[in-house]
Amino acid sequence: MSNLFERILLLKQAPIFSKVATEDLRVVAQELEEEACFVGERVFDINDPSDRMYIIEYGKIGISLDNNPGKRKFIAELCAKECFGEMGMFDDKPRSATAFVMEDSGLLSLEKSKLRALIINYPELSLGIMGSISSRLRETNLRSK
Amino acid sequence: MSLPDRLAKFFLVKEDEYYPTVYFLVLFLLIGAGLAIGRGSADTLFFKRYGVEYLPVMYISFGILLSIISAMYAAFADRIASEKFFVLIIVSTLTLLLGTWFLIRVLQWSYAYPLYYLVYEVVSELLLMHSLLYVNQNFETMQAKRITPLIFAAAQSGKIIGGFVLTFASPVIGIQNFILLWAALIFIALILIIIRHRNTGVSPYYRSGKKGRKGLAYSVDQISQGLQFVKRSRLLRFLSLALFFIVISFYIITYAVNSIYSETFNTEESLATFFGLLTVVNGVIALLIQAFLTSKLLRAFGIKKINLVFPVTTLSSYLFLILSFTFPVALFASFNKEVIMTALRNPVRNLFFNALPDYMQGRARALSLAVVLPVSLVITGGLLMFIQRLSESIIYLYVGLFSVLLYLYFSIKINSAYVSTILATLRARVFIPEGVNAGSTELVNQLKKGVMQENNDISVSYAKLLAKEYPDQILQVVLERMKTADHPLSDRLLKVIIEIDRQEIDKELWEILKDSDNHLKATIYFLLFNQKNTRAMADVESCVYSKNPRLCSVGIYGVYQYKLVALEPIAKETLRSLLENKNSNAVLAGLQLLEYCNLKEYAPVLKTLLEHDSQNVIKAVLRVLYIWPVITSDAESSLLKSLLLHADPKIRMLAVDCFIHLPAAVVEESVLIMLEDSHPRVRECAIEVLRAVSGNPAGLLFDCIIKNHGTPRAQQSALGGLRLILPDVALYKRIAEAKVEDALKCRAAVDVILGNKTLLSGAAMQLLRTILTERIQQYVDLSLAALEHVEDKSTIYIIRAGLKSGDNRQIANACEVMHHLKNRHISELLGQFFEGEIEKKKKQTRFKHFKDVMHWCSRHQDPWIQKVTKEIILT
Repeated sequence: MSNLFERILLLKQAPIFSKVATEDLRVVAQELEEEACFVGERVFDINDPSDRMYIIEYGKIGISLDNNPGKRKFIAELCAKECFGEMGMFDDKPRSATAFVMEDSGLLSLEKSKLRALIINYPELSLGIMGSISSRLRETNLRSK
Repeated sequence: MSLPDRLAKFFLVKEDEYYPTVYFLVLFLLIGAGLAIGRGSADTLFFKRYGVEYLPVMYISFGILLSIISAMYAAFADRIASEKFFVLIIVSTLTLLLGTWFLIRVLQWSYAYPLYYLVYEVVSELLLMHSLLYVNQNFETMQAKRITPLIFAAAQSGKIIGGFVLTFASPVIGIQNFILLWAALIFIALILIIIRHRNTGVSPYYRSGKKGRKGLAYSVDQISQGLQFVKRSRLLRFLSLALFFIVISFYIITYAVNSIYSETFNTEESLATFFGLLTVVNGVIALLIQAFLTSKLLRAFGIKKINLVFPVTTLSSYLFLILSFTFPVALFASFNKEVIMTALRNPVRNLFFNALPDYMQGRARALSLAVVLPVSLVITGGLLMFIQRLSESIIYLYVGLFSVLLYLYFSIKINSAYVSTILATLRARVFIPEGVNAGSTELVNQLKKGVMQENNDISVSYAKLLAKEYPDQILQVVLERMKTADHPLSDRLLKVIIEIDRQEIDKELWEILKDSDNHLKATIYFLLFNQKNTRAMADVESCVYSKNPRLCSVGIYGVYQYKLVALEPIAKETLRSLLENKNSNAVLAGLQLLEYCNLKEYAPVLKTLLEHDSQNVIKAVLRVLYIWPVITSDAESSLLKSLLLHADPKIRMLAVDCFIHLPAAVVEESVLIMLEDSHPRVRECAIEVLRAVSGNPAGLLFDCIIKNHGTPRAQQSALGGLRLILPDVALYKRIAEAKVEDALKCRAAVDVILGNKTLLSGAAMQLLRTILTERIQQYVDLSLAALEHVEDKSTIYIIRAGLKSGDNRQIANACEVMHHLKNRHISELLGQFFEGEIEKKKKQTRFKHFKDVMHWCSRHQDPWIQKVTKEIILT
């Protein structure tokens, strides 16, 4: 049970789920799969199909936009509680970046198909996700001014 | 707790506001001190070395000068970040001051005195006006409401210091050297601004205006836009008119009291000393009011009542001066214009400006400076000069009196326009459209266009909407669309018009039938049989014997429609074979028929089919069970109850619908499970069923909300249900109050948990805190939702949207509107709740210890809170 609670908290702290109610996150948490990654590995490469999103339980992930997936030119370094690969969950486009494992990491992944099924059965989940995306857009707009 | 922390708490300054607040306090202290020194020295030098009788000329000159400078200000007010503009103003002021000092001290030019007077007047107006914009660009409304009085108090402290300097230093350093002292003070302010913004960047609420056009044409355009805003915004219109009349009355009274002072004090030093003392005394009183009273008075009496204080006291000043044109009355008038104006009128006016939309504020302020103030000043100067020529008596005071009465009138008008302006601003910011005219031709045309869309799903969706809202319009549109539609779409569109009994489409149906597949044929035959079309009766038998299950089912329907007794045995046998078929499509065809024919003998088969593998079959069975009362007893209800937990929301929804045939007690017993459903449609269905079955749905739903049965989601649905039953308004009031109380309890519980950091180490405890924090927002939203039935619905809707916007400015505006709702008790509770000012006593008495929180949570009726609490207790 406490593992489930930890996952709910982790999801709640991830920007994309921050506005989703905890009772709805229960079902999302149950669909998460654990993955272990080690330094030097790549979680996904640029232009890979976007089939799932990730939340970092522990460790560090570097994000590179370079077309060459082997190049480590990080535009962001993500730590625990942060998520990545979430945009592909909605736009069906391939990965726009490569994710490098900078430190041994524990990831929780959520399959796109599972999230979509959840959204159909729990429509208020999508309202929360939209709220979070909208807030991020608003913040980006403010920063760009 | 340290002294600064205690002070911050006392003055309602939050932790993250410490540094900006201290910065603004120091800055305004310097500006205030400089202005006091400037005011005293400029007045003394002008009155004693030039003559108080020339004041009207100064007013006219100041008006013209202000208009020109303000036009420049308007050109850049919202295009340059306010801190950069501040630097520009201060550098210009420094240059002017040093130049004036040189003219007085070195060249001993007599016109330098009126020049210095004018420099002071223009600079003080510009600094005051721009300071307000600067503060607004650094704090949102809710912060500004708490911190602005403090900042004004700092400026006031500066004035007091300046007054002391004037009092004690005038005999020592000479009046003209005060110009250098003022220059030194604003130089320090300049350094401060530069350092601050080098570290923090641009003011956080600065929004750049349009770029591209420059020069006078642009500023004229800005001012004309300001004038257009005056036409559009009632609040701005009344603010401008009030300003116009207060300027006339203010400058007339200034002329009057200065005449008295100038006659009373013979020497330059004694006048300067007096001005210094007056500044100190008035400054101290104003400071005390600002520091300890202004925000409390605003909170206690509201902005509207405080807005009327200054007009009334100014009116009193005039009446006293008319009755007795003496030194003591002049002192009272000075007290009014220095103390009441500073401590109450200025902060209130600033709050009124905050209610205007952001894009309007800069131009509105520029309009005040460039048009209203100068015109008013020129008129005042002209009037005084005219009256000076006529007589030397105090007849001009009557002009001032008349002006004050008009000021009072427009202040009352400002109050009436205030709340509606905030609401309009909020509505625009949270993008709530004006009411949609559901009956408009435009809407019908849009729906028709939608039906003609190429995408099948979109076309059918629009057709359903059109059929529901405008059934008389649907037929022609569907027939038109079917001309280019494929068979599946034609089939779906025909089903949309199935309920419309129109003989005129027969011809079209027979035409389509010629070229249709079996699926479409079945739909068309169904429509024809439904209308008991005589020509179609001949085809019934061939349909019954068809190998296609769908046609077969339609044929059986024909048998019962036309009462073809001879065909009934074969029809019954065929139907049974369809229902018991292994192919789920055949079962579906049979079930489709049962939606239209009440054939009780198939009830046992239907109950069995509820456990069918195919979800489509279960859905079809449930549709039949909803139409015909097959499951009607408590004993059989378990079949439906198990489906309430099905993964597919559509099945849950249909299962809830079927409860309509069950006894009220069974429905009431299961209603909470239904209201907790994750799908809103299921919850809506539950409400519909409860309304249809229960003897007292209002009582049940009310209890669910008041006694906190279920999560806020269930309570929100219950409230939606109550809305349909339309109970007494008093019930909604009770709900609104109860929900704020619940929110308060949650907040108190969160405070206790947060107060003990060691408790937060466990995931369950952290989750409980998160849930309780969520509940605070959800209960407040529920309270507001209930208030929609007590207050103006659209107002509450806008407030809710504002609070949910996540934008601090909109949240602040929403809170401000809440203060002006009719139900004072709830609105004040809600308003204070959001502004974080709930009395500490209330908080502390709710939960003394952590175990009290746990006890409360474990007994809570919210299943999610209960579950997490149970886990905490277990671990």
